[in-house]
Amino acid sequence: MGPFYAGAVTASSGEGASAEQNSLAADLGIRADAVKAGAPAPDETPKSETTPSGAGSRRRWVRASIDRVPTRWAGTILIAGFLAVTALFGGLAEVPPPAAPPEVGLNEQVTTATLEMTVTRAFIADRVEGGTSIGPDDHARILAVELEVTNLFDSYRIVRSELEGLGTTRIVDGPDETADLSRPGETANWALIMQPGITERFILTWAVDADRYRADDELRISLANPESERWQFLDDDLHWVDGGVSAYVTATLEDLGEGDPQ
Amino acid sequence: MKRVVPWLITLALLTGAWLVALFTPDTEDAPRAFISSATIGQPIEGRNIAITVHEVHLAEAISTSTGWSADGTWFVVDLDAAAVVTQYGTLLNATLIVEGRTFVATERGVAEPLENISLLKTQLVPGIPKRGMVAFPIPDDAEAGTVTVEFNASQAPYDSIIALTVDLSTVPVEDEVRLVPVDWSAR
Repeated sequence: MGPFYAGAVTASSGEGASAEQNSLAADLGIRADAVKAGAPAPDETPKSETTPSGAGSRRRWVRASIDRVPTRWAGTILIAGFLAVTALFGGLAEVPPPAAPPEVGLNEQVTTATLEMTVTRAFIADRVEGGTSIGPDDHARILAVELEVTNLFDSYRIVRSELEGLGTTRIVDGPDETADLSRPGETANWALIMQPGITERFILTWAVDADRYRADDELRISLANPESERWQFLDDDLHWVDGGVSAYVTATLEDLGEGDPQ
Repeated sequence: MKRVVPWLITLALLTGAWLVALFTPDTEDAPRAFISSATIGQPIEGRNIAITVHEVHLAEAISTSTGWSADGTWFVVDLDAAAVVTQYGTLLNATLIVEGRTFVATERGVAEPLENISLLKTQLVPGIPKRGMVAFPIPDDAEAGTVTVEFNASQAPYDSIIALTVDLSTVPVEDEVRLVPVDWSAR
């Protein structure tokens, strides 16, 4: 051990090490003196009587070699070794930039960690049953995105008005607010439920200015990327968090006139 | 001896702690300690929930008296439900476990309060049963397996759960089941 560390010190610190070693040697010299001086100490004397003198000098040698271990370098050497191993396994490689969300069209499935989503159509209409409500004097229409959703989780999921995890679905350059979620032709009761493994149709609706969108406009939808989280302590309910954009869906707008499709 | 005793005490405490951890139910199972098994036609009572399951149905569609209907594979339970101790905060909750997946009674329907089509979230009253139905959408391929419906009167953990296990292969598949509005039970 002793010689190895001594070698390591010379190798790693080069020129500067000689002074270090000198002071180390001085240290050792003092210590060796102390050991020598300590030899005739009262508690040592009986031992030196019972053990052969060879064992005593061996112990002294062991002690001297232990003193040689450059403990002040141990941390540096360990860290350097750790970093070297990390670098060996790619620790210094550049982190790849996150992949851009895929661009998809209508009826193309987008699979996220917890949901499968397929946008089936996008339209504007005067009203959508169960969707965003607008007044007759609002000069507004409803922009709607119809999609099929399959809950990939093994338990049902209750979606309330904040649309936890889903609420960041937006129309690019469109209204920057959380949509209303409803089922085509149905009225929501207290919440919408996504049952596990069952594909269901939903409509996201926004109120927009009546002149903002026309039929055949290209619509770019940024789909949310809901992720699930379960906490460990006190609250171990499942939480839905927003994981960014899962895909951009390009769709051509239809105009359903008065609306309310089934 | 003085040296050994602290080590023995340490060992005894560690073993004790390990045994406690070993026999403590998992967090998922702990709140489900009070499950009573129901059979069709037999009244069964838990702490604050009393259930009588009258019938179970499998259907390819459900509908309501207002003309709304939904296709799919549906498992429908026709039951009486009442509270036992208190009415306060006692809303019926119904879940269905199919092959490790947990469904909840559907909230789907049109233009009615949920209470008119499903017993889900209906306020239960002590001693006076309400009759109604709960419907669950299930995967199409689940018709041959065994399913378990669980009723409880609150979402609170450690409360009574009434469970009914049904072998779906023994239930005939109907074309459509009409959901009957919730009402006071006639029995």
